[in-house]
This record gives sequence, C-alpha cells and structure tokens, in this order.
Amino acid sequence: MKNTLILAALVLFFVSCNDDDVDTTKPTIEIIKPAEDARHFHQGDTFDFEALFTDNVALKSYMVEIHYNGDGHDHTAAVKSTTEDDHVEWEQSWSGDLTEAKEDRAAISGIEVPANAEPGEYHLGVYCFDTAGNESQVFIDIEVEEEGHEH
Amino acid sequence: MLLLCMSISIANALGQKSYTLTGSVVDDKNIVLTGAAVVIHPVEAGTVSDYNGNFEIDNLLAGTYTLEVSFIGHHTLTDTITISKNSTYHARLKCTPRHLKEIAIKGNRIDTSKSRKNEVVSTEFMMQNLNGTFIKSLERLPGVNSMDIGANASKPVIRGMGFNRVVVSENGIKQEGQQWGADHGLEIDPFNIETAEIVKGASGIEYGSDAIGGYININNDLVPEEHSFSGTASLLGKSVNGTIGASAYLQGRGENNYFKGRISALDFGDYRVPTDEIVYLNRRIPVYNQRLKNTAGKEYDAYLQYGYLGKTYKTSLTLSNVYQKSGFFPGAHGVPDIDRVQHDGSYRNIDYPHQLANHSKVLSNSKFFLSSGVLLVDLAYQYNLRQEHSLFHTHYANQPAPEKDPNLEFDFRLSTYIANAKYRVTALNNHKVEFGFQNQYRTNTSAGYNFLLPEYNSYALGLFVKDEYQLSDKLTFEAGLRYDASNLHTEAYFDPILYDYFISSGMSTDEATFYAQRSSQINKNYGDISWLLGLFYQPNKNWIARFNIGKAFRMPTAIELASNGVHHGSFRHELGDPDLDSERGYYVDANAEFNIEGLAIGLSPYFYYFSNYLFLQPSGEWSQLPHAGQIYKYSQSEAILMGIEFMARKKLNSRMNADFTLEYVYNRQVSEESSQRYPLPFTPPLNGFVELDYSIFKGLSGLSNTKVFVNTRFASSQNRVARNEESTDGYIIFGAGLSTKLSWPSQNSELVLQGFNLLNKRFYNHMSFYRQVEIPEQGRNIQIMFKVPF
Repeated sequence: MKNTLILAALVLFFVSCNDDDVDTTKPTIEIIKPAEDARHFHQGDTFDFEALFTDNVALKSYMVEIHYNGDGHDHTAAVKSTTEDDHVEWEQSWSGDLTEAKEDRAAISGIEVPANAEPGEYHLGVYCFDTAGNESQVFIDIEVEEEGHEH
Repeated sequence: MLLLCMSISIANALGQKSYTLTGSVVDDKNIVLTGAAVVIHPVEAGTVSDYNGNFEIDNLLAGTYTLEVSFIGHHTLTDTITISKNSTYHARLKCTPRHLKEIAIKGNRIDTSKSRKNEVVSTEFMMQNLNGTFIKSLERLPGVNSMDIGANASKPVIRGMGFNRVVVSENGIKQEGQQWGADHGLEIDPFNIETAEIVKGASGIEYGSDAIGGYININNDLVPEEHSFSGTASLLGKSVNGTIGASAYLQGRGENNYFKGRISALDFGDYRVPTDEIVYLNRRIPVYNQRLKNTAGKEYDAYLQYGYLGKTYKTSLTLSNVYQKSGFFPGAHGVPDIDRVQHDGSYRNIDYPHQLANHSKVLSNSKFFLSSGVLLVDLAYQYNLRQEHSLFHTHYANQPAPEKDPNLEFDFRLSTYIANAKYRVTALNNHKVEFGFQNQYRTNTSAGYNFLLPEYNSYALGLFVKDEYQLSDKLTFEAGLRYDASNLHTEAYFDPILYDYFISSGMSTDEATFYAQRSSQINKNYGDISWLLGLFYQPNKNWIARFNIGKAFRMPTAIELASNGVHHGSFRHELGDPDLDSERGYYVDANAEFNIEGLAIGLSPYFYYFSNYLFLQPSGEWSQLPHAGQIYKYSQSEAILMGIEFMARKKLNSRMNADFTLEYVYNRQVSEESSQRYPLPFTPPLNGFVELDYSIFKGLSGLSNTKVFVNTRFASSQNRVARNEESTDGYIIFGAGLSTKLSWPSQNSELVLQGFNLLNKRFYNHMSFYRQVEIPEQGRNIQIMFKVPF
C-alpha cells in the first residue's frame, strides 16, 4: 500500500513536469501546382509551381527539388542510363524564406524542363521547416517525355 | 496431444494423492545458489534451483525420503524428510575448502548484495522468453527496451539510454560493433546465454566510457562437472516469419581440462505485419500478403571454449563467431517507391538492400587465486565486419559504379584489442578492495561506394579502484574512482566526385569543399573521471534498500565528431562537431525491495543530470545534398533524465503467480528558455508487462513443472518527442503459452509453446528503426522451443 502511494506520487510528479511550451508539430505542405492531372511534360515545356504551407506556430523556410528517378526502379549509374549522349538528368532546386506566420504560399513561375532532359520519371520534392526546426517533406512524381512523342 | 491425454488418464487411474516440495538453496553467507541439484531418493525425482535459488518438486507421494542438495564448491547436504502434505525446505550449503571444485565455481556466482540492483537472467529465463534476439528477450524486465531493425537485429535501451550509452560484454570483455548506428544489431547467439547480469544504472567504474545507462554482461563461464560429458539440442520454430532455428551444445570435462562447444543456425523469411499498406511521405506503399518484403535473413553461430583448472588458477580460451545476414525493407531506403516493394515470388530470399555482419572474438579469461586475493587477467581480440549491400545508385551523374563489388555500399571493419587486469583483495576484514586497469585499442576501416563513417583509431586506458566496506550485517558502503585517458584519431576523406558535381552545377569552391569534405582529420585526447558512492542496507530479511550517487561519461564517437553527409538510413544530412566534449552524466539512483513469503515488490527511481548530452539537432539550414532536407548537427545540450521502475511478484495461491512490471522515463533538454526544453529522442513511453501463470498437470507422470500463462504487454502513447521524431500511439498486446518439462525423449527435456501478439494487433514501437517509416511491429507469432539434454 505504502509503495503504491509512493509510486502514485512519483508518477504524478513526473506527469506534472509539463513542457507545453515546446513545439514539435511539423508544418504541412500542400502542392497546388502542378495539379495532379498536369504532371506530364515534354522536353522544353514550362510549368508553374505553387504550394501552401501551414504551421501551428510559425513557418520559416521552404525548398523545392527536382531530380531524376530513372525508370522508376532504382537509381542506377547515371552515366550509363542516359539514352543519348546529349541528354542530361535534370536536377534543379529552389529555396527561400517564408513569412514567420501560420500560413504562407510559395510560387515559382515558368519552370523550364530542359530541352535535353533525359526522358523518364522525376521526383519533385517539397521541404519546409518551421521556426523551431520541425520539418516536413512531400514528394510527387512528374513524367518527362521526348519532344514530339505522343501519348 | 494424444500423449498428453494418455498421461492424464493414467494419472487419474492411479488416483493417489501427490504433494509438492518447494524450497530454496543458499550458501552460508545467505547468497542465493542458482543451479544447485536437488534430488529425492529413492524416487530419484530431481530439479535444479532457479535464479532466485528456489526449487519445486511435485508428484511426491506421502512417505519418507532422503533429500540431497548439492552444488559445486559446497558440501552436499543430505537430510531425511517426511512428506504428508505440501512442504517447504530451506537448504543452506557450506562452502568446501579451496580445491579444484572451488576453483571451478569461483567467481561464477553473481553477488546480489551490491549497492546497485542487478537482475540475473538464466538459461531457463532465456528458454521461456526467447524472442528473436537476446536483447528482445530481455524486454520483460522493467527498464530494458529493445531497439530493433527487422527480425534479428536489436540492441538494448536501458532507462531510455541506447546506442553507446549501454555496455554489453561477455565474460567482462566489452563487445564492440557499430553500435552508434541506428540499424546495427548486437552480434550475440541467443541460444548461448549461460547467465547474464543486467545492471540498470551507470556503471562507469567497471567499464569506463559508455556505461551511462547500464550494462549487460553475459557470463559464459560455468565449468562442467568432473568426468562428465553432456550436451543439449535445441529447436526453435516461429510462425511470424517461418523461423527455423537449431542449436547443438556439447560440454565435457576430465579432471582439469574442460571444453564447451556450440553451433547454432537460424533461417527466417519475410515477417508478417498486420497491414496491407504503409503510408509514408504521402505515399501508399503496398505490403503484399501482409509480409514485409525482404526482411528475411539467416544467422550462423559457432562457439568453442577450452578451459583448464590449475591448483590455484582457472583459465579459459574462447573462440566465437556470429554471422548474420538480413534484408532491409526496400521501401524504407530512399524516397518510397512502389516498384521496389512488389512481391518477387519468394518470402525467403534476401535481395538488395541487405546487411551482413560478422563478429569474431577470441577471449582469454584467467583467475589466479593468491593468498591475499584474486588476480583476474582478461585478454581479447574482436573483429567486427559490417557491410551493407545495395544496388549501385548515386545522385551524382559523374560517379561510375566500382568495378569490384559494384553493389557494396558500405564496408566497415573494426578491430578491437583489449587487455584488462584487476586484483581483488580478499584478505581484508570487512573490506572488498578491487583495483586494476583496462586497455582498449580500436581501429576501423571504411570502404564501399558510399561514405558514412570515417576511418579511425582510438586508444583508451582506464585505472580504477573500488571498495566495498561491510560496516555491519545490515549495512555495506561502496566507493569507486576511475580515470580514463583516451585518444581518438579520425582520417579525413575528401570526395572528388561530389566536389566536381557541385562545381559543375555552379556552386562556389568554398561551398563545394564543405560538402565534399566527408570527414575531417582530428586527433583528440580526453580525460575523464568516474566516481561512485553507494550503500546497501538490509535492516531485516524483508527489506533491502540501495542508494547510489556518482558520475559516468562516454567519449564522443567518430561519427559524432567527424562525419558530414547523408545517413542512408535516417535520410538526414548529419554533421559532426570536432569540438564536442565527452558526454558527462551525474546520477542518483535508489532501489527498495520488499520480500515476504509469496510477495516481492521492488521500486527503483533514478535521476540523471547531463552537463552535455550529445545528440543530433536540426540546424535550420538547408543542405544542398540531394534529398537531404535540413542539416542536422551533432550538438551538446544540458539535459535531465529521470524515471522509475516498479516490479511486483505475488503468489496468488499454491498454483497461481502474478508478475507485474512498469517503467516510466521522463527527460528533456535544460534551457533558460522554456521553448527550448525539448524531450530527448528515443524515449520509451510508459510501458509495462503483466503475466499470470498457473501450474497444471501436477501429479502427472512424464510431465513436471508444467504451467500455462497469459500475459500482456502495454505502452502508453509517446507524444513527448524530439523535433522531427514521430509521436507513437499506445498499445496493448496479449500473449499466452505453456511450458513444461518432459521425461521424453530424455529426462528434463523442456518444451515452451507460446504466442505473441495473439490478436494480431497493428501497433508501433516508438524505439524501432522502422517506426520512422511507419512500419508496424510484427503480427501474431506462435512459436515452439524445444530443448533436449543428453
């Protein structure tokens, strides 16, 4: 009985050490553009990017990154996977600060798919962290086809 | 089953009433004797005392018998007993004078009257609780958690402290692997545990660096009986991943020479998880047929010990090798990709990515019994090989695949040399003084097409002295002091491919150099003091109190000091800091135990203050490395950590026992600003374990010590998380089983049949490597373990 009481008191003591002031909630990311039905491009196309970020306290920074995902199976040796010598795996990234508020948007207009981009699947990743350093990431697939290729 | 029914009917047909004899075995200093042989003549019924020194013999008919209790190094006790009802007998064995028998047993008993509470795990415990790995099997102890990756890799977390904050040793020799890594598992044969001692709480005097959370020492040091030759065969089967395991053990001794040998093999398939898909990074990743792809694996272990008992010394040489190969779930490596998790037609193949670990060890343990004390000399060499194989992939268009071993991503080879000596003075009245030194030299090489861990070498020398002063029968003081001088040297590594890649994408040379310098050359010396003051107080036979205060430390690891790059498992850009100090923790812990007939209660609160807890913190700067997100820096922060463990064991009636354990850990960074008081990563939630066991089939011939049990393991949700750690929901899972001793196929064959997670509940373990990628724990598992002595 005595032990149970000690235990109860100790548990209460520990539980009462609250730390509600810390922020461990991650921001959220919603990709608005390119829309889900418009993620298929040809070499040389341009498109717009837009995302909505929200956080429980205050946003801080975002980053957008595009990289090649090969034929969708694995990242193989890039040197050998390009179908033609002048093709390159398209890689690009953007980053910027967000308003230190609970909601903000980021937009990049006129992203150009390089005319010599290796056709295939690409990942478009969006990252965001808040003022406390809590980070979120979202990935979408975008498809690049050769110029003149019909689908 | 048929056999069971037949035996029941035979027993019923006989219809005679039978009784049970229970009791305990201690030595003349009231130290519990585990493994004492208890035999009743002339019926030749017998058993062995358990790790609390208790024994139980059932199926005794009324009558007069001769009881014989024997234990190596002690006078055999013979007594006449009359059984007319269920009875108890407390045996007290006297030590025999020093001769070969004593040499054989010396130092094997684990002293439980120390200021630090220890738990002793026996082969019997392992038999009952074996659950994949040795560490996983310890989870029912309060304060011990297991950090897992997949089915056969896990490492211990004690009081919320893991990685390099717990020491695991065999026969006193610290085991070295790549324990800083989240996906590393301890290379230990789960079948090969004679006894293990688990100490929760800092143990810096005995081990120096790293023993902040506690230590686990596996004692494979028992000496076979004179002129004997025996062995056991064990079989393990598990339904959750089709495990087939087998282990064979042989031991023998003439007069002075003895040997022990074991080989074990485990083979398992992809394990079942109670889910059809995993949602990670907004992607739905299917789990085909609820089996987690590529989590199959295998393990082959071998162990050989040769020992010699001299007139005044005992020495042994042990060779062991543990080989483990197991797959990683491909959806957990990189941006999740549905194509990589398609079923490949086999549940037992090990595809890419997978890891391979091979741990070889040579141990030499010697004890010299001198007139004033005992000299212990331990020498060891360990070779730890760890590889990760993954189909060649790169983010840098200019990196070619290596010509040799193109899919070898990492290859770490760690060699460790250890030379320890200590002298235990036994000639002093009321004092047990021990002093000695420990030397450790480590050298690590690194290869593979990816880079993670710098090459390094380190040397540590520790000098220590401690004393146990027995003030009275009731009160013992302990004091210890240790100094460690260490040096760590890491090699620089510059990645020209990465440099060229960044330069060609238009980065400045300064910035490209920052990223391409994957590790820096450092040469650092550390000097650390550990100390301990403790007391053990036993006012009467019902109460024990323990109290300790002290300081412990750990030296930063090479990765914490010198790394720079994306960790392939956590997908974070981790940046070391060469200016980190040794992590220092000051602690107070206490323990109170209450024991009366049929009831035992224990309570262990503790508190740590860390002047600098070392861990990864987000930096708020983006990394330019592909997929990396923000840079995480190894940094040091003041922190506090506290918690409490509670255990109770109650005998409910002559057949039924209840066990209950509970653990709570609380920690956070210390800061003037309340917004910076973040919890520390990998903190176990409030968790506990309850088991009820019930003895059945008493009086049945051919079966003994039969019991059925039901248990539950539960955890609350863990919402106190570090930044970028996931919150985890609580859970309750249920298990049940039956354990018994059989007289078939040989006397004292043991059988344990049990089920884990019987309701096939989908739950997450906050400590698991796979937690961060939203993979639930294993589903329902029915397993059978069968051990036959011969």
